[in-house]
Amino acid sequence: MKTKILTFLLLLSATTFLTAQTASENPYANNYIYWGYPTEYKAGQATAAFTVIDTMLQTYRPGKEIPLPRELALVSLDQLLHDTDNDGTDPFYAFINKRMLRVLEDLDRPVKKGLRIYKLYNDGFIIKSSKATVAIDMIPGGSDSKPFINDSIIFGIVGKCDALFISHFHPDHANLRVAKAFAANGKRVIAPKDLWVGVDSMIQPLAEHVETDIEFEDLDLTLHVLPGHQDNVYNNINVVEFHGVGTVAQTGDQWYCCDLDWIANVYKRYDIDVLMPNCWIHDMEEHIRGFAPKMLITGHENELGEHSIDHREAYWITMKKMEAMPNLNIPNVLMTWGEWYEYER
Amino acid sequence: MKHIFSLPSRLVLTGMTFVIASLMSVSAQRKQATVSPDDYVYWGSAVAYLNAQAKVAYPLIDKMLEANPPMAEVNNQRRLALVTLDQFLHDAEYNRRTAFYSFVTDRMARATTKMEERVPQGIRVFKLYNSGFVIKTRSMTVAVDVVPGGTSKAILNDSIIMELVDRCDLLLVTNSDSRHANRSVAKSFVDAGKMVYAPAGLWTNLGEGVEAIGADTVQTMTIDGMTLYVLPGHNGNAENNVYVMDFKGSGVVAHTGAQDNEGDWAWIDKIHEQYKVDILLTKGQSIQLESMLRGFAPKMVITSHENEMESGVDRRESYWATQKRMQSLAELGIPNVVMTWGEVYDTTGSLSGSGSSSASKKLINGVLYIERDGSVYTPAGIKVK
Repeated sequence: MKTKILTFLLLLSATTFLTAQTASENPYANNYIYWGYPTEYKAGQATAAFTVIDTMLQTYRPGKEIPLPRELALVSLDQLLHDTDNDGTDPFYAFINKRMLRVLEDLDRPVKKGLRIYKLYNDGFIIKSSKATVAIDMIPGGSDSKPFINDSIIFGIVGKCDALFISHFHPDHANLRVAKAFAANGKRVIAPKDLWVGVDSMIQPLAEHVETDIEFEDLDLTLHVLPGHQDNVYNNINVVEFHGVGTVAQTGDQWYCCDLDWIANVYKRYDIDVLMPNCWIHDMEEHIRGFAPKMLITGHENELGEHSIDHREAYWITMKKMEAMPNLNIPNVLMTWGEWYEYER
Repeated sequence: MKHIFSLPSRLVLTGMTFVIASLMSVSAQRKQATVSPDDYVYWGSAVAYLNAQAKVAYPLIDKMLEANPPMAEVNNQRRLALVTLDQFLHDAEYNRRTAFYSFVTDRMARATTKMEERVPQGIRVFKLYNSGFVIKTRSMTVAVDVVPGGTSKAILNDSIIMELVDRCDLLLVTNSDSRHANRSVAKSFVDAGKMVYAPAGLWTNLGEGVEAIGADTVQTMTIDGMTLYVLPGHNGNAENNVYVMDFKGSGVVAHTGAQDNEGDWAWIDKIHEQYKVDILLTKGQSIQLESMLRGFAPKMVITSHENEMESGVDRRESYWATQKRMQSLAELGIPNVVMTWGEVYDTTGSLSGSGSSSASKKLINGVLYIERDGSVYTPAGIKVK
């Protein structure tokens, strides 16, 4: 047995050594030639692509219409993010952190009118008014040991937010490290029933999974929690009413046919300005009509990690879905990580 | 105009046409209306997803390239289109995507249509697949190293090849490697009564339509409106004709084929003393690109061989890597134009002061020399006087 273990360790060491050697030996790296180094090639390509995509996205910002350069940038990003060779690579980390750093910096810029909506990774958003900055489903992505968004940035963003609302317990929506950081800063976290019970007094799961209104007088807003589901999982649909400025709704991972009965009438009780649905929601048109928002910002595109590429919803898919609802007449501002949009009624 | 149908018949026909058109329109609308967001769900089928993604992306890339044609100072829009194309062309299963073939075919069809247009002055360069180019001047159209490419399925289909043959006056082939030489293409030229010039030993059974050219010394030929200098290059030890095409009054274009022999640097290093090359067409993915550029000292360079799909991913030279490499050689001051398949670059007006070379052969004591601008050179380009 000992011999086997020793052999294994020796082989492991040799493999590690050879791998490390291979990665550093390309004699033509300075000439951008990668013969025999496909991994290095792919990293070079990813760096080149992420760089120009970022530049183009900065030039062609989110809007109700998508000009060709932005459309191509998003599709190019889709291709990069659906090539698993790029998963967890340095170019990917550099790209996402560069963009999230911009969010961190921009959060200092006051909002004078309306709402500024930031898109974070996955289904995460920040909505900022002149009086409040709230985050919904903000997570760093990746794993706790190696998050996509590094700690200095994500916790920097936490420091600039006033509250966090969580739709449901799945790790692509709820992250305890982030929630604890909010709590440690004396900021409230509203979570679904049964999530993080007793962890911290500032982390407040609903007592029951029923429609609930929560006032934030200091922030001049009301949170209306609608009791949705993802199959059997409690899924809070967070409707945030920024008094006199605008109302946004984020649907989390809403996915339960029977909720459509009441969702179909949400618009009768709430005047929704911006709806942020999960891009892969079933019966998308029916859901959207139920909220009857003035504008959409879809979420959840390009969820990496454990998702296989067929379910890493691409930006182009969202565009196609919108085209497939020609009579909807509700614009979708398609955003990617680290972007923001100024909404005014 | 005399009508062959009576008035009532015409009214009935008109009515029927209207009804049919209306039905078709309604049918089309219904078909459109049947598309729903749920049709864009690919869960469980990564291949279907990737095929669909390619189908969306290739037309966008094409549109962006059309809006941002080849240029020496590449803008970000074009850069984005090229690097996105690189990504799709480095998909290991690119040939499973039908959108790939449509992309190439559509672009080549546009190029062959453009080849019908007259070139009033200067040189128009068409980039084909791999190292293939068509060079068109006001008086002639020359194809170099045209190959269909591909492994299981041709990248340039037969129809495109026949269109190219139809538009060109002759074919030059630099070397026997399959990435530069294709018998089927050569035969199409021969069958169309057009000459093929190729290194000795290639396609001897195609008859007189193929002329073997190239030797150990510089060979000079006059073909219609062009003086062709065949320089004795090598790909490894194999013969590789480096062509310098002097289109009298329009410009000088050189194509280096698969040139990579160390022993040839002796003359390549000084070739600029002998020929004033306006446009150099040369392989971008080369560790000796700088030496090649210094040797030819062209007024501009158009790189070739990018995205050779028969090669593995790491050897499939990308546009972004070529751009990076050219940026690293910026100090040479040679503008470069990175082109992709089916693109056109017009040098009219952009190569001011370009003049044709005026080299001529000279026999001195039984030895062939080249005389140019008052100086005398060996066939290998060594200045002797």
